[in-house]
Amino acid sequence: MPNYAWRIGRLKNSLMVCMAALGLCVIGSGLHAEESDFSERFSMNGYGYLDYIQTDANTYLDASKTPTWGNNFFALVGSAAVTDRLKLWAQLETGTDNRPRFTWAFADYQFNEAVSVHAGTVKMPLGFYNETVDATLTRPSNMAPFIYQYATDLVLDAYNGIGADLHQDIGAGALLLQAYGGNSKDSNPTPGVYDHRLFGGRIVYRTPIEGLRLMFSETRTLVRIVNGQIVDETVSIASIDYVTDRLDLKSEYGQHDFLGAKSSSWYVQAAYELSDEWKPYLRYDTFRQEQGPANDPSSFQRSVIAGVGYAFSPNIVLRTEVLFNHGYALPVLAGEMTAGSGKVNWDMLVASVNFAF
Amino acid sequence: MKHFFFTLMLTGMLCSQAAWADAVVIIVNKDNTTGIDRNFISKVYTGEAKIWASGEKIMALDLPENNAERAEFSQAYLGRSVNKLKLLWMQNVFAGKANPPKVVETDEEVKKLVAANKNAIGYISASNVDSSVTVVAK
Repeated sequence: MPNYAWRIGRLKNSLMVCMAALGLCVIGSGLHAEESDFSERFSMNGYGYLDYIQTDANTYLDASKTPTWGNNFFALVGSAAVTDRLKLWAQLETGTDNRPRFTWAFADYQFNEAVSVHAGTVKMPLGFYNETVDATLTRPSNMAPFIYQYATDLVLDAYNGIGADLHQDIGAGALLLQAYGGNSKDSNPTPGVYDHRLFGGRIVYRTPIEGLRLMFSETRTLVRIVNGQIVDETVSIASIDYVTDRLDLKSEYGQHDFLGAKSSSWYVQAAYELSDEWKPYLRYDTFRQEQGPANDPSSFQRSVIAGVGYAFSPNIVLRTEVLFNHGYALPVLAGEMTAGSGKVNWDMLVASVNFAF
Repeated sequence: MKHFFFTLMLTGMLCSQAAWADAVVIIVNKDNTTGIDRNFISKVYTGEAKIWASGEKIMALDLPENNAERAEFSQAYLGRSVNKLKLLWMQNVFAGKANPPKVVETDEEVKKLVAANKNAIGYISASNVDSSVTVVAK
């Protein structure tokens, strides 16, 4: 028997979050916060989304044949320039199921034109999307590629520690080298493990071909498991994209290795801007747990994602997409299905209002 | 026939002169002696370069989103549309990397701020340039 009071409560919360966010969006676009004298030193921006999700079988992200409006997100990002070189950044976020919390907050110091360092809780530089994974307006699709979805556990929110960025022009193109070390801040920790230490980096190569970038990111975490033994957890992502004024082509391969349990994911994605308003997109996305039998549909998922976005303005985008799935590894990893209980071929509809200000 | 070609050439010259006069140029303060090339301008307006070699903060100036000069500047100097650039700045802000340039309403305001601030950089129509600022790229 469905709990309708609970559903109505969630719907109310969803609507309140959405209305508050859209209200701020309108106010924000009117005020142009960065334009006032006060915001020479301070700035406040925000983003969020409201999703409608329904599947024709299987349960994922709380959606099944019974749709959900329960996946909402709203975040405020603030910055304060203490001096010309020192800036403080913080993000406060909330969703229907989460109380407001700071997801990252750090100090950024610009040493010279090329080198900056950060200290605090810093968003992890991994692949194309990890730093802006919840800012759905800034990417073509509603659902992030599998690499970035919490169920696959490939990427981490942020690290508590220090990091440095180096921008370097080279003869042909330019490099961005990023390195960091500290402790992990994982909002979805593996039960029974603790005391994470991590280090990693990202190399971004902007090639001489306009719009073509290559990227490699890796994070290595030293994990003390329950018996005191320290083991490695490694996440590696190789990325390539080619972006022109209208076309956005992206592809990434990610791999996760922890205690011999390996998983991998890759995708190819194309988005094309037909006009300022319309932007259709297509993605082929795969995920596989390598220790499982190759034909077990609960250990892999292959999906074709087709969708279209309509921009009411650069700050508000309405998107609808359909995921045609083969396999159901993500619902199993999310704990919403058990192995053997799902339907192999299933579809998912995701409609979303995405905004930023 | 000679008259026709002469008229055509003259028209072409006048048109190109007019096009130059309307072109967008990059201006800095007269006391700013930093060597600036297109690569540096691109870095400033995409959030990669934040301080001058002196260590002082770069004060980058932008025109409003619907301004034709902004569209021309975005395409000519940064190779992107205004909307694409706006998306890039959203990514910069939401990743905690950089804040977008300060937006002012008119060429005159850009010129006034650049003339008054050693660390300012902006773009205006070539026809609005005067001796109060230095043109570093066109």
